[in-house]
Amino acid sequence: MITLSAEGEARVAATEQFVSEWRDPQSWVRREARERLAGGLWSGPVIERAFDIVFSDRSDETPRIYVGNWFEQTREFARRALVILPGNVIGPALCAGYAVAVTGGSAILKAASTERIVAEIVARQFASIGEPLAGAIEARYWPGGDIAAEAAAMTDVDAVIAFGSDETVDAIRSRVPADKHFIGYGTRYSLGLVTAGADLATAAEAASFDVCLFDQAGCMSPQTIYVVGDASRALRFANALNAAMRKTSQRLPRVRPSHDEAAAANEVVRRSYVTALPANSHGLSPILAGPDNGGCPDYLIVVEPQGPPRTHGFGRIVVIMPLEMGLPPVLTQRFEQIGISVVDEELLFIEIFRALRGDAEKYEPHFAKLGSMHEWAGLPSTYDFIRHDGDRA
Amino acid sequence: MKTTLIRDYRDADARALDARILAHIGATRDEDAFDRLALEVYAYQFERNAPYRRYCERMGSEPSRASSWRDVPAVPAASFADVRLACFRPERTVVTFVSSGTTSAGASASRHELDATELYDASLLAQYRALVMPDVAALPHVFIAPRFSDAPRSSLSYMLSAIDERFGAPGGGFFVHEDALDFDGICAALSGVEPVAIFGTSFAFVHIADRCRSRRLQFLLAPGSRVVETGGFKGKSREVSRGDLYRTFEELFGVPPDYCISEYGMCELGSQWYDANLADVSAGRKSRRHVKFGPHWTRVLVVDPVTALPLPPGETGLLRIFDLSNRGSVAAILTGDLARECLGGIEILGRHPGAPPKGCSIAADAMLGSSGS
Repeated sequence: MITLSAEGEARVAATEQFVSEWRDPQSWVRREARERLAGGLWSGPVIERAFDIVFSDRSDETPRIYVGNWFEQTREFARRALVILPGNVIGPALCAGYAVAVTGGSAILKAASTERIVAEIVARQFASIGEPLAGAIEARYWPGGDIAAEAAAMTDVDAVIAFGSDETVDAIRSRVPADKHFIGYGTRYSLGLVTAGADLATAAEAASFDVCLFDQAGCMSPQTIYVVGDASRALRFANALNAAMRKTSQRLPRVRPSHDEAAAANEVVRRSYVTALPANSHGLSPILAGPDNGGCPDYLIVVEPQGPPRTHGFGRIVVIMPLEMGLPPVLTQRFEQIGISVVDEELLFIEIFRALRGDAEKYEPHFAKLGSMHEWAGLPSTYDFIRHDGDRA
Repeated sequence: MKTTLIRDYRDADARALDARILAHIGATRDEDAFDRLALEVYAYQFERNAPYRRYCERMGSEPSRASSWRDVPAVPAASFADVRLACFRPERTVVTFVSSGTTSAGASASRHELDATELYDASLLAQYRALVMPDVAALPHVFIAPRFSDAPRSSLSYMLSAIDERFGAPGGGFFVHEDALDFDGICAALSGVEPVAIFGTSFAFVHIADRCRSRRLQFLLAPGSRVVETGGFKGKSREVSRGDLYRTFEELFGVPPDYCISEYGMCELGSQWYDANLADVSAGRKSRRHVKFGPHWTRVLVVDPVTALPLPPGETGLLRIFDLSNRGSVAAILTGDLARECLGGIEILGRHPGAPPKGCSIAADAMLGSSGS
C-alpha cells in the first residue's frame, strides 16, 4: 500500500470516482453520453463497448500508483494544457481527464466538430466530483478556421497537445507561440499479426472486435493483418475473419455510412479487384464482403500479396497479407502498434520483426494480444501533463 | 530538346494498333469507328495487362461480351498507385509518369508507363491545337513549370515540353528551375510586344500574383495573349477561387476571360480536356466558359459515386473516361473527380470528398478546413 499525503488521498478518491463512473453503464456520465451520442458516428453497442474498455488496462490500484508517482512527486511541474481532440474516437477526452486527475494539472479540451459531447461531460463530471478536480477541466469548442479562438486558448496554457494528420499537426505546431510546449499525435495506424502457432478462428474472432470498434477509423484499429505463412494460410484466416465479422457485426453494428463514405468504400472494393490475390490459386475467395449497408459492404476483407501495409482507415476495411520469411521486409514507416494473436517463442518474434521491420528505424512495436489492444493507447499520456527538462515552457 | 532520349519499344501488335488509333485521331469524329477501336483496345489490354484482366473478370466482363466502349470496365485511377497497369514488360518502358499524389501514410503515387510516346504526343498536340491554338500556329510560351529534362517523371512537364517544341516561338521558355520560380525571367518574357501564351499551375499563378502585387507590377499583354491554368490546390496551404484567379489574370496580365483556359488532365491519362471558350470565340460561336471538351478519341460518362452506374445528363457524379491514347495501359478509367455534363461538354467540380479523414485526424482537419492558413 502506497502511503500518500492527505491531498494525494483526496486525489486518489476523486480519480477513482472519475474512472468508476465511466466504467459503470448506469452512471450519469454513461447515460448522458449514450443519449447524446446516439445517432452520430457510432452505433449504441460500439459506444458502450468503447466506454467499457477505455480504462480496462488500469486496475483498481492504478489511481493510487499514478497519484503516488506523479502528483506526489511532480505536482509543482504539472501543466495546464490545451488538448485539441480527435473526432473519430472518444478515448482521448477521458485519458486527458485521467492525466489531469493524477498529476494535478489542468486542461482546456477543445472538442472536434464531429464529437463535441464527451469533453463537455468530462468537464461537468469534474465539477460534480468537486475538490480537488473541480475546475481542472474546461471544455471549449470553436468552429473550423477560428484561429483567434485557438490563439486565445493557447495564451491560457503551458502546452498544446494536438491530434490530427501529420500535415495538420505541423500546421498547429507552426501557430504555437515559442514559449509554449507542443506535443503532436499525427497520423497513426496499427497492424495485426497472426503468428505461426495461432489458432486462426480464435485470432479471427479477437481481430473482429478491433475492426468493429470505431469501424477501423481509430488509430488503434488493425488496418492490415499479416498472417505468418503462405497465401493459403492468409486466405484461410480471411475466411475465418469473415465468419467472425458476421457474428461480431451483430453485436457491434455499424451505423449506416454516409453517401460519401459508401462511395469511398465502393472505390476500395473496385481497387481490390486489381490488388487482391488471384482467385483461382487456392479455391478460397480473396475478397470477402459483408452484407449491404447503405449501398456498400458492411465490411470488406481483401487478401493481397505480401507487401507494405495498406491503410484505408475507415469502413471496416481490412487487408490481409501473408508474411513469409525470406522475402523483402514490409515496413518502411512507423506504425502505432502491432496486435499479436498469440505469443510464441521469443526467437520467432525476432524473426517476425526482422521480416516486418526492414529499415523502419522509427518503428516501435508495442506488443499486445490481438483483441485486447489498448484502443486509444492511453493518449494523451500522463507524461504529457508534466513539464520536463528541455521544455520550451 | 524533349524527345531525344525517348525510345520506342513497342512490339508489332502495339505498333499496328497505334497506327489505327493515329489514323482515327487524324480523322473526324465517327462513333462506329470509335467503338470498333475501343473494343479492339479492350481486347488488347485484357490479353496483355494481367491485373486489368483480373479486374475485368471480377467485374464479370470480357471482350467477347462487350459491344460498346460503355461496356468496358473502368478501373479506378487510384489503382495506378496500387499495381503496375501496363500491357508490356517493364524493360519496354520508355517513360514513367509519376503523379504528385497524396502524402497520406500508406498511400503511394500513381505511375503511368509508356512503351512509346508517339500516340501520347499526337493526342496532346492535336487537342492543344484545337482548343488553345485554334487561331494561331505558334506563340511564345511562358511555362510556369519545369522543363521535362528537369522533371523527367512529370507528365505535365512532358506535355509542356512537347507543346513548346510544336507551338513555341522565340521569347518564351520554362521559368521554374530546381523548384524555384524565376520571377525576373517571367517578367522579362511578359514585357514584349507580341502576344504570348502563359501556361502554369493554379498555385504557381497565385505565387506570381502575390509577387506582382508586392512589387506593384502589371503587364498589359498584347491582344491574342492567352493564359492556361491547370491543377488545383491539393495539399497547398492556401486556396483561391477560380473566379478570383481569372480576375487576377485580367488585372495582372490584361487577358480577358475568353482567353483564359483551364486544362484538365492527369498522370494516368494521355489526353487532356480544355475549356471551350477560346475555340468558341475563334469560331464565332457563343463562348462556353468553364465547359471542357476532350478530343474525339475520348468519351466520358458521369456515373453515380456509389453504384458507378451512369447518371442522367446534368447530374453530378464521378467522371468516367475512355481514352484511346491510353493503349499501353488501361483506356477505361474511373476518376475521383466530380463532374456534370454541360452544353455538350463537361464541367469539372472538384475532387470527390471520399472517405472521412483517418487515423485520429478528423478534429484538427475540420478545424483547419476553412482556416485559409
